[in-house]
Amino acid sequence: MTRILLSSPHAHGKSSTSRVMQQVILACLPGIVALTYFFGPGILVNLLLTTGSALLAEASVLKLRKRNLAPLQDYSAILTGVLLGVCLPASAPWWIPVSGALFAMLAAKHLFGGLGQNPFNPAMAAYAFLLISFPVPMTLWPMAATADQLSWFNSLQGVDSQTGATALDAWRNKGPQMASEFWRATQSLSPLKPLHPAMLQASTYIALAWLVGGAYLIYKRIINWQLPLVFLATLLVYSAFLWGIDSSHYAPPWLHFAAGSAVFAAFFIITDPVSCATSVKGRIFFALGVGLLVISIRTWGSYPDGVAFSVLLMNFAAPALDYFTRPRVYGHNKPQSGMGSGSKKGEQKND
Amino acid sequence: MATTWIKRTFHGGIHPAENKHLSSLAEVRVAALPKQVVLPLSSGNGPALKPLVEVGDRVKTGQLIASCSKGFSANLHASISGQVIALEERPLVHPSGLNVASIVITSDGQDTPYQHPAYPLWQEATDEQLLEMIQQAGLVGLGGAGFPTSVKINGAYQQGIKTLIINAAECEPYITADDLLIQTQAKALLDGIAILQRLLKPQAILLGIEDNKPEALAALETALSEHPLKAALEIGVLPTRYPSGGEKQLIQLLTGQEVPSGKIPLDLGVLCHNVGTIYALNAAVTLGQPLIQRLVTVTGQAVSQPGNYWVRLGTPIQDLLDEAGIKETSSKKAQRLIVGGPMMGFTLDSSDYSITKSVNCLLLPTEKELPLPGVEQPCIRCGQCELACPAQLLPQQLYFYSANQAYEQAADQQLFDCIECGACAWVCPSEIPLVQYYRHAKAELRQMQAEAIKAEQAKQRFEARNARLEQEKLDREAKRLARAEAAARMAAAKKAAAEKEATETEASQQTSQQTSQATASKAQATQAPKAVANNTALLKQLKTAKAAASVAVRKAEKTLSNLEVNPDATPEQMNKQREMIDKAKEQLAKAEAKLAEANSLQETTQ
Repeated sequence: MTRILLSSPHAHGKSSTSRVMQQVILACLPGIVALTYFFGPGILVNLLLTTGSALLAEASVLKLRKRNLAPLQDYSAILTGVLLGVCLPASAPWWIPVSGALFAMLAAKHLFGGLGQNPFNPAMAAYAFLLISFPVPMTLWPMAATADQLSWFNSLQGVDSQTGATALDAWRNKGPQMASEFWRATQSLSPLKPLHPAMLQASTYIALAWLVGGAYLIYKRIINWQLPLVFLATLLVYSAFLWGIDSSHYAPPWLHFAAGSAVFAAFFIITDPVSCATSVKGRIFFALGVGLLVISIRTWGSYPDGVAFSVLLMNFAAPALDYFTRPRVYGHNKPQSGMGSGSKKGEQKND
Repeated sequence: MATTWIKRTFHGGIHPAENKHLSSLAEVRVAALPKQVVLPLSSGNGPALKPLVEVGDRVKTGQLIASCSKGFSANLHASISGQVIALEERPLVHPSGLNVASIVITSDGQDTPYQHPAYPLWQEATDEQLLEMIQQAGLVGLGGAGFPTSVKINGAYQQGIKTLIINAAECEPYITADDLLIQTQAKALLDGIAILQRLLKPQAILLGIEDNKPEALAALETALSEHPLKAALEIGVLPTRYPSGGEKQLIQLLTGQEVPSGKIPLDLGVLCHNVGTIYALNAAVTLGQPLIQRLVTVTGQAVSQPGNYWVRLGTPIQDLLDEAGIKETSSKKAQRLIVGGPMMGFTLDSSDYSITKSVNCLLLPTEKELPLPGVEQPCIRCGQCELACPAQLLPQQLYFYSANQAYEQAADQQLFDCIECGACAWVCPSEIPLVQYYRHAKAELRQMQAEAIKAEQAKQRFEARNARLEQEKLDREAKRLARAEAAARMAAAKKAAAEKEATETEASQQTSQQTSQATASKAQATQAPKAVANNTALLKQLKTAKAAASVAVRKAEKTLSNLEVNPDATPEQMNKQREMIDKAKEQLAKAEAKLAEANSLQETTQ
């Protein structure tokens, strides 16, 4: 009787790429629900448009490259669409999510060879592309809902809804104003107040929703806990340091967490394995770098939020991080850094 | 001493489904005596054994039938009594499936034991006698590696060891041979350890066992409580985690030390032996029984009676499978016969093989039990493999370099520290057959290394040939010069004689023939420039020869200095080169002397 020949190991664990992607998409649900609650069904429309275009783009590229269409089932295109979709303003015109998703799949992913080959986070690359190319629609968020007035009823009824500045945007635009004056102004009843409390409230709840999803991912061991922890700790320490220097001009640490996409990025963006550093140590430095850049860009940069740019910059640095953070291999005294000539040196030492 | 629960860990590791209950619950059975055995003369690596029997010879159970003079392979004994019917190539249980020369014996059904010469009681035997007994018994590591035990023990005896480690971890899923051996033979096992203690005098004896074998642990503890080893042996209970039974990992768990890369445990003063080996060693030393049988786990959901069987070496695998009963439930394409466990075992294409010393398990899984590998997907660098790697490597980097044929960069990432445990491939969500890539890359690198050595040898041969040709040319030139010189000397002598004659004739005939003098002087005048011209050509030749000789000396010296820098150069090569320099120098001296001689000759003639 003939039996088949196979190479060891013959057993395999339960994990699979598509399961990993599914879990991450599942973990996005609380955030999506919160966003939809506060900013209306525009979020869902965006998500439909991004995931749909991402899938279409991936399918056509695979077709053009005469590849098997199996990667469509690995959920990676859908995940990219979801991660981009939740970053876009709910009121964005339809071509914003569509062109963003196309950029993510074509330029950021498939030009480099598809899944696993992209040096940059596709969602963040697309977000940066949109933010630079179309700054106005990308920064116009609809006014967040409050308990008495849900914005999406307005949009359903076709009422031209009010727009609201996001908390970080408002803080950026306060200029030389003292922090105390700024906060007093937000409490005023004037329609020209810089920041509507509803916006801050909404972003706080949304951040909490992302935290819930992130906790799920850590619980399911889809992501390492080190990355979000290091990133958030860096944000806290750095912003607290600045705030400690001048609390009237630098944003208070809590604002960095409650506003913007820091919490979302901590669990869903910087944990993207493909464009991150390789070793655990390298990934910790990656998170640290993103954290420092985010606060720096928010504080001194010309964009209200700096997550996308920080992540892309650290994506550039990932190979260098890998270069310097190679782990010490069993039976060796020192970790070996460097990629090329190291072996010759090592061999001679061994002799 | 005591039982310690080991808290130390090694990096990574995984928890695959153990499935040990399949075979561990059944009683140990003795497999039926085979009608025929096939005993290979080689284990696939190491020198082949020399057969001591011929076709037609009658042999008894335990009789030595093949040995190795150098001792690097283990002796082979008849595992049944009967007649040698063939000495031919048979397929060997080995990942490569190669054929090796084997001794085939048919049973006479008697199982008549061979009477070995009596040895003294081991307590009274000298160390040399003990080593001899171990060497004679044909023991190899029974954990799966199959390395000759006597080679390991001799090395340890000569070098001295600090720690003796007994490997009872048995971390591979499914396999329970060691577990059942300890449960049924704890006392004999301790006796075996005592023999090694007496022989090697280690400062510490540590036994590592995973905590998933409580019955075996209890049996060991009970036997130990009444054993002389009680004070010396320390049992380390390891948390179940694959691959805690890997030699390097076990040493790390029990001693906290790491085996340096490229070294062996003995360099740390550590000797590691599997419990199966220790048991066989005890049987060899106390009962004079050579290694003719071993405990084999036959398991998997496709086996009707999974369990552990005492099997004579050389038993056809099909016989054993028939005895255990096979129910082939999965589709034809999923039927596998794995030798070893699911993590590191290899598959056989059929059951037409025979049990060898290193077969510890036959695993026949159903398709549902161990599904066939899925489609390989792109690596998403999730890093799960790095967390699982017990060698602390970066498996995904190794994969990238191996898959892209950047083998040297893979080697730079310490590819050769990979123990091929398969933990990375087990966790990989993209189902990449990582170990396969590493094996391929290792093979390519070994090939490249072998080719580099060959190229170096060819280069040296070529250079030696060039030097030899140069030397021959110089020799020929020197000979020619010598001949030319001799000819010149003869010409000069002739001329001198002629001159002398001429002067004599002149003196006698001076008065009588005035006209003849004029003729003679005229002849001399024409002869002299001819000789000078001849000498100039000779001088030129000699100068060329001298220059060539000095070039040869310089070249030879350069080659020598190159050789001195080259770490691969052998002393013979260096000596040869030195001889060559001496020869070239001699030639140079000769050429210089000849040139000087010719110069002075020319001066005199002028």
